[in-house]
Amino acid sequence: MPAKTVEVIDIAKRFGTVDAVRPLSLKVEAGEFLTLLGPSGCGKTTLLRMIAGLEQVSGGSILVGGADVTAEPPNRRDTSIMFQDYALFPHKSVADNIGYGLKMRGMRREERAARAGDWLERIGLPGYGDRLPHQLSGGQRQRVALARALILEPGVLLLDEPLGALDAGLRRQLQGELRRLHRDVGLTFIAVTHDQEEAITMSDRIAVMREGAIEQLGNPEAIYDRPRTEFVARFIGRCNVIEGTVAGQEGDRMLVDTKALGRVLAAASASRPTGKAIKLAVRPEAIEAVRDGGVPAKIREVVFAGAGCRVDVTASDGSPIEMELDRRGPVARTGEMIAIAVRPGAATILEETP
Amino acid sequence: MTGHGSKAPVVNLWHGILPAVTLMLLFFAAPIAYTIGLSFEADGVAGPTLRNYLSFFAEPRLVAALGRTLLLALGVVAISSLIAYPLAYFLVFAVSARVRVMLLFLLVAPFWTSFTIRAFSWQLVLSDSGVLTWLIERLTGRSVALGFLYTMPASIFGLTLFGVMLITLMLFSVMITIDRRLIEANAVLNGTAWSAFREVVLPLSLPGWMIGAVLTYIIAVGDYAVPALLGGGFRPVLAQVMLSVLKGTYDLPMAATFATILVLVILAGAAPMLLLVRQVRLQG
Amino acid sequence: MPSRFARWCLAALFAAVVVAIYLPIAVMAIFSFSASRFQTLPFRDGTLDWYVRVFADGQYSEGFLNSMAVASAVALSATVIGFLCAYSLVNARFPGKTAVTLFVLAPLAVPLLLVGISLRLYFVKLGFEPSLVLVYLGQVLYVLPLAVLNLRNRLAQIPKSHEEAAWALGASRMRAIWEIVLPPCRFALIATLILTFTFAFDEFVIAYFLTNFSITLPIKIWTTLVTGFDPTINALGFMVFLFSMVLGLVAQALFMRKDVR
Repeated sequence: MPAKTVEVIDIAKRFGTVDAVRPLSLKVEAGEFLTLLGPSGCGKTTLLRMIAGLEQVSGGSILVGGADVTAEPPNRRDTSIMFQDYALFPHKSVADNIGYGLKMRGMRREERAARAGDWLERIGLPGYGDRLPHQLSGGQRQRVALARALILEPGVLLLDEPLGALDAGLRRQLQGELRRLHRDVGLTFIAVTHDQEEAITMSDRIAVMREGAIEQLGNPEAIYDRPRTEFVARFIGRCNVIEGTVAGQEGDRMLVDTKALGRVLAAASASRPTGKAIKLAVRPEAIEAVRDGGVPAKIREVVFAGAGCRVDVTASDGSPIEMELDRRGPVARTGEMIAIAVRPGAATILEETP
Repeated sequence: MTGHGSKAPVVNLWHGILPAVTLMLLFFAAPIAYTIGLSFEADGVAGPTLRNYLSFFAEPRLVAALGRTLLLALGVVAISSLIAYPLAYFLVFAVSARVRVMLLFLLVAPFWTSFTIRAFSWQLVLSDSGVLTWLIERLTGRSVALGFLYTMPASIFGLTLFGVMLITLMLFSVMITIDRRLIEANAVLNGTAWSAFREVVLPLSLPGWMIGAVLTYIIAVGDYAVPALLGGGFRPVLAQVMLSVLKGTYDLPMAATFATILVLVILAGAAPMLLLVRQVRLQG
Repeated sequence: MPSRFARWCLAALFAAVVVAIYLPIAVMAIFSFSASRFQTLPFRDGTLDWYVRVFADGQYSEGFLNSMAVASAVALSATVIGFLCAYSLVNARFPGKTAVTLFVLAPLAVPLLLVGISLRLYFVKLGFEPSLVLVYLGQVLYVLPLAVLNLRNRLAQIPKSHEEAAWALGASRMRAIWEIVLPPCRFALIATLILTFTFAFDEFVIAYFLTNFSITLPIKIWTTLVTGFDPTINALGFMVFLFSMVLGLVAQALFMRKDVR
């Protein structure tokens, strides 16, 4: 089953007067694991369902492996979809669930059973064929749903909240399993999730969506380290957003004056004129306590967070700043004054959004 | 029917409503519209006329029947509601889940059985030579003339049993969805069982009451069996008059007028109930 | 929670209502075995005579067979049409869906008497002779809302994604309905058949207005009741009551039954 590319061009979806997906384009490479990430109502699921053929497009076109499938029904576009609740047929056995797609293709019963048996072995559930879905655990159901989608040998696997129905511990374990599965079968995976940690750990690339549009597209490192907008910065991980004024340029970085953190050397996607008011994204781990220089801040609260300490401080202008301190460093106490500074280049200038 | 090449799934399958909607248009909407139209026709009069209505209201016998119908239906709704509220409250809040299902079954099991037969069976109990008279005579040792059968209260009684079933069922289905924590919150805030009912259960269950009350009203307005078998023929309600006059009559416009007046009676009675619920909900 | 005293009061009220519901039926049942022609107590000799007479009476048999035939046809039609309608109302998106729903449920808010009269006037105008076929049409229309309501509730519990999964795996719309949607609905479908059958079987007014010479069982019961007393009616009434009640209970139990999840 060769992996296929997926290309959506100017695709849009309107429900009545609501724009669920605004015209957007996106190209997913063959064999890539791309995650559509965003809060509920951002259009990510609608986009996935349009790619699957379960939702008609209001405009634009969809190409799978270079072929236009916009008008094709779900089963004729070389994609398979795994649903959020897995949508296993409750009255059919596990083997019949896995073999359902083959049955629809007119495959004979014995052959179907043999192929389903192979897949049961492959997902580590040999001998489970006669059970009903409600007799399986959540993780087992998820694997059956994957087998049911993959047995048709699609070029693209679509996953709607693949881990959404599981509890936290199992989720973490299955993130790794999905990643491995992706490597093993070598298919193009497009997943939808609202969980940023899940997106970061599993994906090759992430498309952060907001209000029916893609806000930022890139690999997990780029999304985390260089958020393009305030929305992305706040949605992924923890982030301070601080106001400042451009003070100059140093190479491809900008010097920014802030009241809270003093002068900061920040990365920028484009040059900005001196004196312009901007916003900075500063991750908590990008702020250090320093002995020389830095600006004063008062420790408001110290929260033990396992490997490190989350420290909430109040900057000299009164704004709240969140930082992370190493436990090996000096012990921080509530009420103390410290000096803080941003690591050079670790902050990012955000683009303005309406 | 193979799945290959079928584009059906993406298309909205709204066609499923066509048989039902066609049926409703042809044999429900059209007959009622025709009937209402017919009520404005009269022999020897060209164009629409109110003559049928005038002759209806000129006939004291018919006006009296109309008045009795309203009294009967409103009385049934009022008494049924007064009994059904405590019953539904009892089922939902005072018994365990297992008992609840059994009791509910017991209460509504005869719901689908023939109305005529149940009305008739009351004759056996209520008549002057019936079980009730016999029982009273045995207990008091005196002979009594009950005189209850073939009266308006007997009609109200018969229909109220049905109304109690219906309204209790509707109230039950709404009350059972009330979050128990609201009741607990009331208790924590020093409320009594009565204030729990008044402040929480009553307002939240009004939509269920409304459906039950409106349906009971409609059935009471349109029923002939209970008034005929328990209320008797001397002081008929509208439905009885209609049934006796209409079958075999050749004055079709007059028949249509009766039917249209029935529609008006239903609208006139159901509208205040709907408004009442809305009013209370707006206040709450 | 209500106090102990309040609870006892409520329980007493409940008991009184239950007695009021079942007492007359019990009385009827007792009289149906009484040898006396007169419905008076105390009860003297027992007999099965009235039951024998019911089965011997050709008009009762004719009415019973007519009612069975019409009610079966009504139940089948209403369930099929109701399923199609409920499926569309649950799954399809189209403008005016709320209006259509209300329209289809409208007969619930109209007395049988009105339906009966207006259908008769309408059919007379169209030149149709009153017959059991017209009774069938009228009753289908009247029980259709019940079928739609019941099946809609059941269909709404089936996740949409099950059907979509079937499409994505290559099933056509019809095949997905047949293989994925219908199986979990089977109890609800049987229950709907039974319920609509029971209703049509006991229905009197529409039948009364839309037939002239063919009789259904409720029509026969009514004419027997209003044309002077005949004790066979106790026996027949008790049987019809039991028949409807058992069917109704089976239907309710089926509705409550949980299908394989």
